[in-house]
Amino acid sequence: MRSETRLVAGVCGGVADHLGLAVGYIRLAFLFLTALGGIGIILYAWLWVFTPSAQESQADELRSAGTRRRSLAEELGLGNAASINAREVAEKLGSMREILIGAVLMILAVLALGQWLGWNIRWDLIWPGIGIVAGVLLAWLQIDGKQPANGSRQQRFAALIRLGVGLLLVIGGLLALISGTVATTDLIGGIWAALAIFAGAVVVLLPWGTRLWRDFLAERTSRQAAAQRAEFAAHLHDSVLQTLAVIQKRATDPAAVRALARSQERELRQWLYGDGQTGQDDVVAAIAAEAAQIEALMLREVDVVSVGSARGFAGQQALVQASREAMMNAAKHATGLISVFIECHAQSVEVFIRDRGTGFDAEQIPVDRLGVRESIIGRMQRAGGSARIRSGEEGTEVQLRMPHGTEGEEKP
Amino acid sequence: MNNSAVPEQISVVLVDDHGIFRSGLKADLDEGIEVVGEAGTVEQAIERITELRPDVVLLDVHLPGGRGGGGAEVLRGCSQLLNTTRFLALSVSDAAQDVVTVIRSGARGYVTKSISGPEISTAVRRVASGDAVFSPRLAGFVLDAFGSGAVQQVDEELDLLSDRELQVMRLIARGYSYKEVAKELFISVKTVESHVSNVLRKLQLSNRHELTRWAVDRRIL
Repeated sequence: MRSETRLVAGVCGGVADHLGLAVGYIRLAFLFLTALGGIGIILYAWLWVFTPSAQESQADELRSAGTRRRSLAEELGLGNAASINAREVAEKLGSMREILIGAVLMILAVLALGQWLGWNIRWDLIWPGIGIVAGVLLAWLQIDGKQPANGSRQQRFAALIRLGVGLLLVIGGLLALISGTVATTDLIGGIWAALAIFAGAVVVLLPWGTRLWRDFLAERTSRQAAAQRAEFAAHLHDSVLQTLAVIQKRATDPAAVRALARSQERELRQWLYGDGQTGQDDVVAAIAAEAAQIEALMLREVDVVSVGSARGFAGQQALVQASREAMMNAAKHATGLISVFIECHAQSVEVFIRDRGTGFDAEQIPVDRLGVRESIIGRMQRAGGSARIRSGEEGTEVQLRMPHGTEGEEKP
Repeated sequence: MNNSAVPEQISVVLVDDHGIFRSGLKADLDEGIEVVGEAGTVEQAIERITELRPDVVLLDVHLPGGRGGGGAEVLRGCSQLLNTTRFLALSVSDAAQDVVTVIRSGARGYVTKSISGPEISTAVRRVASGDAVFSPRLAGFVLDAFGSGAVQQVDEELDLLSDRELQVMRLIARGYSYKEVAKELFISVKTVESHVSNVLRKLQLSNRHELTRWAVDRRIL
């Protein structure tokens, strides 16, 4: 394949890599061949057309790898190898290219000097030759360049112009070469004949060409679909299959299985539908995160329902911590589902935490038990809010209320 | 909403594309509920429901087939049956978009798939008798959509929830059962049911500006 660090098309670099020689020798060899009647240029063009660039062969490899997942090392190697080299060498190559152009101009100058000294220089061959080489370079270099399939209109316009100029240069050069040997009237007749042949070929081959193009498009879309499938497969493997394996191992422990399934569900749901719009500083998101933690920690189900959103008010931290404490209590002392309801009003945020336990009498909590008295009621009161606890046979409900400050409140 | 008497035996069609879930659900339903048919795609569902005319259809929100409309498309396909056959939406996604879409297409209620066996049987009975079934999350969506602030006066009936309806919704969102709501508000369970049915009707029919805006904000409509 052709080298990524290149002066023109990377052909010399590729050959050097292949043969294990220094690039300089190969370049010298090509220059020498060029001096022998231009064979070097033709060989160079031939290699340019028929060997893939490093990028292309990399893409090929990726495609054939298919849905196989790459190891981390491979993943790291992929991006870096090319980019580091490219960045280092780019500046050096820039100046090298200028030197190359300078060398060509020098050769021309030497030839001009030679003519002045009386050499027989065939300018009628040299100028068209230069034109053809320049046109080919102009047209082909674009193909190797980055191809933005959906580039801006300006970019595409520029590319078209370069292609057109390249084409003109090549055709002009060829015509100029031929016109030395063929008479002008014959040439014009020949052009007409060529056009007729070309038109006939187009008519015959057009349907074929369009079908090839359509096939290409179809293949491209199926490739994109395959890539997406691969991403899904990778995710399912990483999370769901692992969890299923663990669940099978712990099949005798219903609570654990339930909690595992639940946390996996939450994660998958986040991945599939997660909107990522509510930031973590949002009170709803914060309490939901606490609920998820308690679910994982205590192997209990916590169902969070919320209305509205609010963030950045004074007592938010206290409210979240009191909610956590209340959920923790419910998980420790009660059975069944724990329902959490968060309602954000314009003036206040209310949180209700309900369990289905047997209940307890709030008045009869021993003084030394800090849980409810300190962590919930005391904490809320110190932050300017209030807490009520209702307990009965059907369960306990902790009601927390925290007024909004004026700063930074938000309600959609 | 004609509150016809609950039939002795309730016939049910299960519509879900996962065989495992269907068999699990069938095992969860109690003896009074008979599964007369099952369907796995939109076309199959419409065909089976029109043919069997069950009392209740347990309808998954996400279904393959049809034009990709899932459960809502089944509801549209069976729209002439909505008076005799009641639809209860089952969803695993919990996304506001899915839930509100099926409710507004005519489903009489919505429950999550993680609902327990006795609960789903109760929900089926309730739907069969013409009442609505609200999960806490659906109540949360309603409060979010209609605005949870107190209403001064009900001028346009469809567009606003009454004070009482708001209270009921709030309690349901807090995880209260209908019975507990009734006890809390000192009203009968029947009254709670009628409040919930009213809310459902408003959710289905309202074109309220706020509801539209709420839906647009969440890219539902």
